[in-house]
Amino acid sequence: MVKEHGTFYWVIFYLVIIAAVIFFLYPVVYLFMTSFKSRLDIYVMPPKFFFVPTLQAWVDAFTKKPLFHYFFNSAVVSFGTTIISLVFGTLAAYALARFRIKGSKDISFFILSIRMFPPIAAAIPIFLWMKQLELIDTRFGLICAYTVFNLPFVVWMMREFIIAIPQELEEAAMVDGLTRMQAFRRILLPLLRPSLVAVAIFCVIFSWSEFLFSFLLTQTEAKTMPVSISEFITWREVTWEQVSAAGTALIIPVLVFSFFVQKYLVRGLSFGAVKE
Amino acid sequence: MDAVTEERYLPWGLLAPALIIILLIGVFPLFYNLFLSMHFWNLTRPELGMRFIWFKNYTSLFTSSLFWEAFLRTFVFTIVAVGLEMCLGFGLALLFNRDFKGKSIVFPIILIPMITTPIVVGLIWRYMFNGEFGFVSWILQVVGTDVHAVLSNPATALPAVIFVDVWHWTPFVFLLSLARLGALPRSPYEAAEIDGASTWQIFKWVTFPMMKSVLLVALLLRTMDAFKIFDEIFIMTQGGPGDATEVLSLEIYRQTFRYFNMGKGSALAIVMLIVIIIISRIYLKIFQKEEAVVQQ
Repeated sequence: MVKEHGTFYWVIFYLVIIAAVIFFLYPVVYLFMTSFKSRLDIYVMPPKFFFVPTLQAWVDAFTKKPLFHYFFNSAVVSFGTTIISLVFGTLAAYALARFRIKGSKDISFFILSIRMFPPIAAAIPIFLWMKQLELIDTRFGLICAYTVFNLPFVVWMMREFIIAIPQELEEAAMVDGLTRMQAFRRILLPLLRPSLVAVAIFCVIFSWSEFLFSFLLTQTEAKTMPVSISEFITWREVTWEQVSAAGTALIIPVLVFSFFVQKYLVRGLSFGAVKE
Repeated sequence: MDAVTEERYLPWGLLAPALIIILLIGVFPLFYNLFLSMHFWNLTRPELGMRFIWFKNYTSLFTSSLFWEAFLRTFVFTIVAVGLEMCLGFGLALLFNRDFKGKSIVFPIILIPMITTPIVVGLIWRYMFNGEFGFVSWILQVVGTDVHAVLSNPATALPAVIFVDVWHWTPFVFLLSLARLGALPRSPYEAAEIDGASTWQIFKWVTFPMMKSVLLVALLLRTMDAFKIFDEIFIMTQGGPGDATEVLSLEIYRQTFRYFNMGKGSALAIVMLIVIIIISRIYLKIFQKEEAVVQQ
């Protein structure tokens, strides 16, 4: 479709693009800017766009609450659940993609349907059980809860990725004397590496952002960053500059990380939808 | 171990850990929910204990106007938000489906809301909507409306929450659509060009039919997620003012973790689950029909 467009067309085109960029970017930038404002610069109308930046809010936020501890928790829980989900999920996906199992399709659909459930519906029983098992307020408990949501996703995605790789490669290797699992490890796994990265990114981002379970299942020790942010908002007051600092601190790692792995992110998200 | 037994048992061995985890932490809770939903159990009244009351939790739900209002609200929220996201996301993707200067910079910027933590999304917009010093309120003032604190006004709270969801998830529809647009085959377009089709005709008869499947996937994923929204609303309004933004997830939260009415909360959770299953089944049917048409 090669069509020549006039100047007017391109002016309108770029205006729309610029409007979209401002719409999607500005709120995040606004949060970022607020974290460098002093309290006096926040509680004014109209909002101030030029102000003397200060690090006070960051210092306050990180000294008043043990945010580093919560950061650490977020990281441990995110990576813990991602690793468990990737290992068990990929094995299960391999079984579903490469073996003739009775009801293989039903099993896949069943696993996927777990992911569709509203977390709040599972929250009540999980909360009661973890209380009984004394797993409340432990990072392990949180890792277990997150794995239920990450695992189905990994199985579903990895199954698709494995099916997309021709089986002949493994079969040839097995004819050459490798066992099935050796063929899986030495032939298939290296080919799956980019897909594994893509899926892992999603697990990490999901777990890093998760709020509800962390909110219900932790108290002080295992609390993660999103929960600590919600606690800046109380009935009496909201310390906007501090919560902005904490919020910025929470999303910066994800944004930077996502920017560098953009290629994988797009690949992972669009794979299921794009394949023919 | 010979090859035949390996073929038979190995896959189950590989599946076992995943299935056990999913059954233990994913499926059992659902059955426990079902069990709880037929009991009276209020944690603030431990002396009453846990009593089996058949379907009383359900009947009290179905006869309460609060439940139906929350139900309707959740549907309105989902339909309007997802509808807008689909239109805007797809439209933006059509716009992006060409080469232009700055595309590689603009593209990741548009994806930012999507990867922003939901809690922080709620936080940002609660701040932007603040009646005293929020950016949006200032804009509304400049424009000359007399609406100020959007989130504390029952009439504007739900539209505001929908607006936030649109901001958050339009990029998702945009990304899926754009990825598919870039992968469309060229030949139908060339044929349409030769036949002298107009831009609108090309869109209607070439682009749209080929995009249908990906749009359905986006629609399904977004509907599921919008239906169970919690974090953003929890931070912005906690379901208020009054219960202007009280969607089903928040209602479950209120019943169980505020009033400690475990039975009623579980019944609500089961109802919500059933609705989600019905929605996904309908989509699946439509989807299979689409695929059958494509394959013919």
